[in-house]
Amino acid sequence: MELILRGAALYLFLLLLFRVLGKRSLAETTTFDFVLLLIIGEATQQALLGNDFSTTNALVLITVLMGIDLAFVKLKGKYKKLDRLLEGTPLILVDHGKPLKGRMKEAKVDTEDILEAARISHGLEQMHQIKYAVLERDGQISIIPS
Amino acid sequence: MKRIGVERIEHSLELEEKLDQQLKGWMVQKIGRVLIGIIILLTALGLFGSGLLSNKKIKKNGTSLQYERFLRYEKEMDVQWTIAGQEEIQIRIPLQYLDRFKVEKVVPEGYETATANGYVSYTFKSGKTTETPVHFYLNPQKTGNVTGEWLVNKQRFQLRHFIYP
Repeated sequence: MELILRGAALYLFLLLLFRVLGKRSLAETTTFDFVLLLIIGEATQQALLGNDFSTTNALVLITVLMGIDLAFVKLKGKYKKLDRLLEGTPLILVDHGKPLKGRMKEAKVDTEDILEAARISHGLEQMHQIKYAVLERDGQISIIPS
Repeated sequence: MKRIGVERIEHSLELEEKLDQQLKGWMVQKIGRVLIGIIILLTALGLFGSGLLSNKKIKKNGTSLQYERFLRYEKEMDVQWTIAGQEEIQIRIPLQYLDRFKVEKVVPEGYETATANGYVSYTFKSGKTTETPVHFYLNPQKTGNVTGEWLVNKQRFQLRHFIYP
């Protein structure tokens, strides 16, 4: 039982923490962020397994975490409000070539991020060539050209 | 500095933007960031052990005690005593208190132990030194609040801890 509670507590804590940090912080993963994620993984592993390094403990823990994740996927599919709460909603950042500065500031996205996404996805050169730029739920910026 | 409001627009995209929910979400994120800052600050101050908020010192009639108020599950802690001018030192710990801990080590070694009337007593011969340091290295085995009244040569000392999971 303790293992289930420990797994559930850490799952919910990480879910809350990454939701508070915002989606852009996850999408803009740098090499250092990757190292940081490894450190977080290492710290979490210690707390999850405790002093029990048996295979059974690891298998039970993986099953518990996958079970919680599956339950959340099911719940998000059933309750749209919960889905929007946990995953957020898409956000338009550019409207007919005009950057929406207030939204960009809140979402912590700058003009360079949008132009980079425009160059990568469509080879666009200028802001006025963008009809819409949308910050998607997974933190990626999608571009709809004019 | 000019404050920029969040723009409301009409668009032709088939997507559920839910701007009001976004605004609430950003507000929650701001509160969350402040909370993260507060937690880091409190951690530095010792809310989760080892710091200003956690260190507890008591001095009574030549006996001083130092211990941590906030402990973590299975993280060893040290209850430090300094006893002055006593040739024989008897420290009695309530069994109900020890039920929450595993005694890892007691320094100095070469003591006598006995159990009676709900207490475990440790007796040390200290010679004629002016101050004798005694350390109890305890490992928390249960979480929550723990209170115990230790007796050092019949003097009472109240120890209070909170053990985090």
